[in-house]
Amino acid sequence: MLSALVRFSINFRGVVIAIATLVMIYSIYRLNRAGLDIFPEFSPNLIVVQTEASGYSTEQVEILVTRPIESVLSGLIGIDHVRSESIQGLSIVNIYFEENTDIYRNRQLVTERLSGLTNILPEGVGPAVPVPMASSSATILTMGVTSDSKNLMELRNIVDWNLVPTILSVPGVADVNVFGGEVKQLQIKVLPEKLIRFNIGVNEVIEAAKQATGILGVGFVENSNQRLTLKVVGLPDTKEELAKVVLTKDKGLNITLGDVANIDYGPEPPFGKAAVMGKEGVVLMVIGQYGANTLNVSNAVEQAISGLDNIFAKNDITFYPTLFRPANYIERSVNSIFGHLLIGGMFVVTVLALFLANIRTAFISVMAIPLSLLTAILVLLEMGVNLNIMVIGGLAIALGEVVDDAIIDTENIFRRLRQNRLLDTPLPLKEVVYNASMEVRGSVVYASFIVALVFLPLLHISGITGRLFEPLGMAYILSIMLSLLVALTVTPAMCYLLLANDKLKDTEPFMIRVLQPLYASSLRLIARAPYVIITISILLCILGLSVLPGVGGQFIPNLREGHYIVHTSSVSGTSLEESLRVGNQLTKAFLDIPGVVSVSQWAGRAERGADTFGSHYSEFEVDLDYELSGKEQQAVLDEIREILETYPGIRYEAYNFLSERIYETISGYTTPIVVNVYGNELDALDRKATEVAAIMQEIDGARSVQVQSSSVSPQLHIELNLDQLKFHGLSPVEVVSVIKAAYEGEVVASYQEQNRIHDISVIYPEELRETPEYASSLLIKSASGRLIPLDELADIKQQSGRYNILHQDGQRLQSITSDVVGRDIVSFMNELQEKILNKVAFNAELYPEFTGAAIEQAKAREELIVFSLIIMSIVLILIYVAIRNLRHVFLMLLNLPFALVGGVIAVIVTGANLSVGSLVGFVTLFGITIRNSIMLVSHYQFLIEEEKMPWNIDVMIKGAQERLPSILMTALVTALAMLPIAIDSDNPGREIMGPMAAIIIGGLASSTILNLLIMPAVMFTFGRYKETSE
Amino acid sequence: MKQFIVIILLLLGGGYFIVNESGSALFNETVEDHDDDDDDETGLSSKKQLVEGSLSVSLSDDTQRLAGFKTLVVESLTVQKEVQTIANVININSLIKLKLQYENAAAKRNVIRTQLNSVSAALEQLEKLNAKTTNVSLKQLQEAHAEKQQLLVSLSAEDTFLSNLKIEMKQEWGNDLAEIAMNFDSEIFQRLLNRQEFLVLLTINPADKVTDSMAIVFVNLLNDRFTARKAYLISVAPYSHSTLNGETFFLRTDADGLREGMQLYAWIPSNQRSSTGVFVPDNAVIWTDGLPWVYVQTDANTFQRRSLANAQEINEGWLINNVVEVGEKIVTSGAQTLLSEEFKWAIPDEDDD
Repeated sequence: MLSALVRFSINFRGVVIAIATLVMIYSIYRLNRAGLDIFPEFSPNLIVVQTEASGYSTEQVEILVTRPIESVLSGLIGIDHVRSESIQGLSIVNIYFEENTDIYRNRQLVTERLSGLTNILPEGVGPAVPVPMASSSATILTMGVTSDSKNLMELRNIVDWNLVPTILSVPGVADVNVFGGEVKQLQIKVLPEKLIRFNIGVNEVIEAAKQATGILGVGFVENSNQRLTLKVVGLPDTKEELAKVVLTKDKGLNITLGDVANIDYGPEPPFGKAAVMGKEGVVLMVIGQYGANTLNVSNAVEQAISGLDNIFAKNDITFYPTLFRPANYIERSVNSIFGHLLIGGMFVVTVLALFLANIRTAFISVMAIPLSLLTAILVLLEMGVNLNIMVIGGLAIALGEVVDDAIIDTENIFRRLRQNRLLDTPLPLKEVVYNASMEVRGSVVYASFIVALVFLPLLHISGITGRLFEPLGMAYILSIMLSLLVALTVTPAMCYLLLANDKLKDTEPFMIRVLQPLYASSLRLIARAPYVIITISILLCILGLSVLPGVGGQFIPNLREGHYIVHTSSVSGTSLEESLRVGNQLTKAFLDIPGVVSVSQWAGRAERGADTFGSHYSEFEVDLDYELSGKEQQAVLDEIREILETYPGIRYEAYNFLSERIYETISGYTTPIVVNVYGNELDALDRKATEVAAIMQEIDGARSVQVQSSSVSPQLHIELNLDQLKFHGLSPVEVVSVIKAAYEGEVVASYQEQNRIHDISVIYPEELRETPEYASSLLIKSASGRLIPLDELADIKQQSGRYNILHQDGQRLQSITSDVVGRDIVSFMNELQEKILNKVAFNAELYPEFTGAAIEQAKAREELIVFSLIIMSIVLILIYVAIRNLRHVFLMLLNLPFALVGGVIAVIVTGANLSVGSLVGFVTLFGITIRNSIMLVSHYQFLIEEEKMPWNIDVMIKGAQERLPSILMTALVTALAMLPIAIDSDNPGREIMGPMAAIIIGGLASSTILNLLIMPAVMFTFGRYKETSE
Repeated sequence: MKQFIVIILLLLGGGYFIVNESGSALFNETVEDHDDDDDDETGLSSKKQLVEGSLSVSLSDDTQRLAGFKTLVVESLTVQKEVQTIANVININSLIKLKLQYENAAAKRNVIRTQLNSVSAALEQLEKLNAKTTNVSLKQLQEAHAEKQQLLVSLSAEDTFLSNLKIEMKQEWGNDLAEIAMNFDSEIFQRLLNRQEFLVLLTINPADKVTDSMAIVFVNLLNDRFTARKAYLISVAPYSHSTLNGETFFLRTDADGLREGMQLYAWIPSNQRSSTGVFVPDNAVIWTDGLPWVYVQTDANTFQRRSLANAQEINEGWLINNVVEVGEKIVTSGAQTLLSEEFKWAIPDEDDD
């Protein structure tokens, strides 16, 4: 089949070249229109259901909201597990589906089930809504507004009713989370002294307000001719009109709402606050849709809001349109990487021209590179894979093989054509090109398949690593396969077209002529003492691999995005005001760091956000100067961390944005040891958790033992005295509703202001809501008409309550986590299990589960090992098929570690950490080395079996010499192409590929030494060939 | 070691390096988890220490500057301990009616008395003439006697009526207020009558020992002691409050802004002696473990948390004794941050759901 393909390509060279040109032009066209992103979608198959339960305590949220939601969702097909968190006023249920299920179908199923909740959730709670599906990186843009003359309510109004709708109309925007400002309400602020004066209860005010106004449809009148819509106007909807609403009559006098309350516009109790550059304002976070392209959506949003700057400026509003713009990093990275690839490309051309000393051969080899890579991009785009750094990475590391494919073929055809010309009766040119092509083809095909197979497990990794690196693997495998196709079709066609009738020089190119004698004498030298060389290489291998464990590891390298996200957290119960004060202090300090351009902060959470952050939690966007280098950015981060380290009373995290997103996605799995205790009774769970933690602490090797969900938050505990309620003829709910109205506010209606809808609520004045002691004098009207202070009806005291309650698969859970230092995890886990099961009493309702990253990893590892073993077997079979000698297969494999020594040295020299990317570099190296080894061994085989040469030192040298140009060229071309990326890789765009490139360059050096010097010597000493006599 | 195993596996397995959700075991120890940079031990950080038996937080000058704490030097404050209760502005129409009846009756009695005097004088004259000249008819004399007797009876009836009114007034409004009402020159009653002042019914819980010290009481429509006005004791009230149990008293207070029927807050000086202490404003107070606390800066770098468990709640703050000394500095801005520093181990890890 291969021969037919090659023959067809030579015969129909014009057609092949025309098709190739067409494909290339179309690929360039598609490439220009393709969106670019940093990472592929890496978020798990997760649906988040958020339910606001304003005013409810953690325990109430858990029982009344979270449990019903979990129960309606239970049993959905494809659910992997369900986790939930209940905090004061909010329930978040995370439904993790199995990875291979359709996220849109899952969403549909969840939405259908949630619709049945309407009558189950308590009044005023919810609705339970699935949070919009956001892209993995989520944030597209962060903006902010502040003003000197406009108050926070006006600012928030402008944002909610002007800015947000404009942004939401942009395709690709999933949601806009708005932090801070004050949400406008028309508030009926009840004055307790007036209630006393008129002897009126809060409940009566709420009822009167409910009856007073609202937006209601009243139907229509229809007769045989017409339908007339009924519309009632004149419902009170201004503060003046509401003040006139009659509440009750007393001795002939009307008592109005205005008599007992201040009616004015006021802010609803806030979820969060925000500040920009230390000034309180509103911060907006634009969230991208699942699968949306950051760069495209970012540009579209900017287009949509262009011109708003002027309008804002005229209204004395300072608008910050790019407090954070992830697209900056994408643009900078892509420019940088393409720039460096271009320089690399120039190196490639120079090397090829120098080695081949023929412009046509160089041209053929060079053209194969863009043709293969562009076609790979085209296929990926047609498969729906977005272009991102990982795809570019895959293409870049495939460069070695792609170049090699083209060089081997071209160089061989070139050589055979020259040799043919020297023959007395030269063969037909077509025949020479065909034979030369076929001569190397067999082993090239095997080698390509082996390399592609080696990458296959990358497509089988589960979790976030799999999602991140799958496109890289796909791009790599596709490039290799398409490069093979090009080598089988376009290269022979072009060789025949351009070289067949070329005036070829009779001598080898200059570089080869210089190098070959030197190489031959080196080989002779080595062949004399093969054991010395082999011993040295084994020693080097041991040395290299022994230093490897000392190298630090990192999931992904530090990305130089020019932006940092800082999280701070104080003890729960810290007020928004204090969080903002702390934030302002930090903002001032951050802004003093050279290179920091802007700092914005939000504390608490946004209304529709899926985060369960309390008022003690803040997030900062620290934007840096666009021009800062990676090193300078690191210096800023170090300073930020130093400030945070110094600041009292906070815990913090400071990351760049994408790392933060990745760590957020993988969180919950990071602790190697986790003991989950399941049970129904919270206090019993706490007690058991404490017991387990105490035992865990004592086990040798345990470090940072923590009881999760142990945080408490301060509460004002109001315990109703039922006897007192009975005495006064009050029902418990009446009392609770008065407390709720006083502190949380009771929304009684809505009113329309132009096209805006605002709530009307009954609430106590702010100054009364600020004092905990005031709660005791809250007045409740008894059945006998007397106003009774709350402390007569309830026992009020301050105490600590639960901050959150966690569930896993619908069960209450308390987790105890630990790191393990200085011993292996398995023995630690065994000891832990034994001790806990012996010392702690469990029963059917209270039982432990031993899990953790270690166990999770073991499961994933087992699957991967099985898969890798299958792949390994296929690879071994393919190598054997390629060289047909088991002894040689093992000789090759035993020598492979040496090829990787250079990579290890590169890691140590560059001071880099090992990341998943570095390991991909090692795998690539493995591919290149095995390919070169196959080519060498099979070339010896060709010389002995086809050209009938005896197996001796001269043939060993001849075979190696003939492989020298392609091995050297491949190594040089690949190394030089990667060099610009590897140098100073701690800069935007090169963070992931840089270490990979450094390993490949280092590895190529050792791999080349192996293939050019050690392998021939090893083969000469240990190899066995069946010589066929003439 | 794990790296080594993985690399070997990578080399010999043609394949694969094992990664999973967390980026593989290979990366576990060194995944950059900078939140753990901050001291997250379950114990106390080095910044916390025990000073004089209570927990303190020590912060360097730079840290304090960064955190932007604000402190206040506390001053001595003397507060008369008071008991808070309820007072009602009451309607005195019935008193006024009684007083008017009393005045009318008194006037009528005066008229009768005058008439009686005149009739008595005439009768005396007639009797003299009758004795000397006998030119006065007996009938004339008898008629004069009858008239005098009638007037005497009327006078007696008016006296009885006045006495009854007095009793009724005293029964209904108490001796003192009745006396004031019956006193024609009473300036107090004139002010009540002219609505320059209002009569207030104060109800006191019998358990509150205040009666000796309640010559002046403070009343306010709002629950705000500082803007309260003075009310002066008139007398013990003869009747009780319609709903509240307790001793009742009449007081008078300036009528400005008040209307009959209003319920007022009242503060009565306690029998106990006035309290002296230092004033801690509300914004310096933090609640934890069921108690209010305040942070005191004991030296340039040390902040000590002290309990306000026995402090007296007063308007917009707390009055404390023997907890914070005059001249000491309390933290008025940033107390919650100090509490956070003290309980840093309890700060929830938000991302670890």
